[in-house]
Amino acid sequence: MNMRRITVSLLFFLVLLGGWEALVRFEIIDEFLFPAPTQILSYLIGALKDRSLIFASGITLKRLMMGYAVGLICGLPLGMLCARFKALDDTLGLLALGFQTLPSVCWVPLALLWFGQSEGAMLFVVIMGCLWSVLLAAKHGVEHVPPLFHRVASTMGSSGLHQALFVTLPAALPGILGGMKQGWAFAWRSLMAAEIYVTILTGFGLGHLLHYGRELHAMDQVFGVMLVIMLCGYLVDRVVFSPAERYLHRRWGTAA
Amino acid sequence: MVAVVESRAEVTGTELSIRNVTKQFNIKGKSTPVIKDISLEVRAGEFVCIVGPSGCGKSTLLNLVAGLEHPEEGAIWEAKEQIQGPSRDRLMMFQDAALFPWLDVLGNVMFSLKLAPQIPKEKRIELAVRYLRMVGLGRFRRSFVHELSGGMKQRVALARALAADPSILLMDEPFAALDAMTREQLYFDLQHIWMSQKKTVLLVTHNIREAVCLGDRVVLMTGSPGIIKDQFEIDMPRPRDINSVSLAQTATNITHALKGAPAVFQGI
Repeated sequence: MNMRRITVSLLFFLVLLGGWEALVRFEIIDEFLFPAPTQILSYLIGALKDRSLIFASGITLKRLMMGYAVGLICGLPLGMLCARFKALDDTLGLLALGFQTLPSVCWVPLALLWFGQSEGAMLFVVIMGCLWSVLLAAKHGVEHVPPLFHRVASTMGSSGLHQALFVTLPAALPGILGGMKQGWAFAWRSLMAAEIYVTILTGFGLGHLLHYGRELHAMDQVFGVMLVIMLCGYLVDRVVFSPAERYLHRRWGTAA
Repeated sequence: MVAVVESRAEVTGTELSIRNVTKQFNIKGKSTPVIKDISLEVRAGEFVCIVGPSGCGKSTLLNLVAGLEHPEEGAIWEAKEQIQGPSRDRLMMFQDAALFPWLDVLGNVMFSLKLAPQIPKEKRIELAVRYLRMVGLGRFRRSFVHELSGGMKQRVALARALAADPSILLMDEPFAALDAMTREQLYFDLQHIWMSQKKTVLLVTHNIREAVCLGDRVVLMTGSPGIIKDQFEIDMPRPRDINSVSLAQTATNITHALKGAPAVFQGI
């Protein structure tokens, strides 16, 4: 990014925050419902000092990582198999298509009855949230591999598992990465919905912090936690997905 | 650019034998023969060009030899073995270079070498570099695929095919998507490489001049269903120039044979 674009972004956020602060200070909007940026900041500093925010973030990220990992480990191979075997596509593929349209928060009542107010319920909701979209994306990624790649590989003597691992998998990477990104977004949303909706006794995540902010009418906490949730999503995108996408674009020659 | 590389192909005997092969496709629920009762013998070390109009089944014939498709009737024999499926012994090049974008240029050549069990591990890189030099791309070994021009991509595909040292090289209109100047350069390069390697080559094209320029023999196909109409031995010294008058005359005569008219020029 060049200096000019950085300056424009910086200016935008300064004006936004400054305007917001001023509106609250001059009591044009009610700080009880809409606290100023400085008040939110002081909550964040306090929550960092008493570690409540760090614990909550840790618990949330741990649940997210575990659920997402299971979603990837099951979804990617199953999706690739669906693309390969029509019988699997006509059964599991259809099921995945159905489940994918179901907003994952709809799994929460079921999860509570099956697993109780436990980590298991949280994990289940996250897995259900991301598994199906990962599976379908992997399937589409494989289906869009040019058939010529397989023919070329076959005439070079590649077949079976070798071809699946060294031709199909890398060729499908752009589609698979898209699916991983979408799966991450779904996992993140499912978990937040579940945490806000259900109190789990084994650990308070960011969603709970948000929920209790509302119960206590601590609007600075509500805003602060929302900011942290936003920041987590942004950081993962910047640190994990964007570099991976840039790498693939460079390799495939699809960068602008 | 020319380098002498030892090749496995002995310059004796029949390498490939296509016997009474018929292939049908289902078109709108009706099984339609694409090629019918084709027989063709290819000697080891021979460069055979199959020419014909679009849809005459010439690419299908090549796919059958590659083992990518299977004939309904008849059989294809490579040396003493009947062809059942794809094998690295019959490596195929396509109109599209089909290089793998997740590998660099060297990686693409290495892909086929890694599948060749007779080549020891430590010799692979050396061989890959040698073949890249042979096609004039020694300096581009670390390039990404999309950074190459169409002609360079096809050169890499040629290096990838030759490096694995297949018994038969199958080429399905490998130059059709290239511009005329690049194509002529590649005719020249391919002839030199072939002269140093004497590999058995089966090349499919719809360009009669290209066939005359490259082949020891030109096999004429017509459709449909595809049959072999005629064959011409091309006895001209190599390297041949695609723009030479004698080559153009030979090509014109074959063109007339394709259309069923009597030959205009003498001397085939």
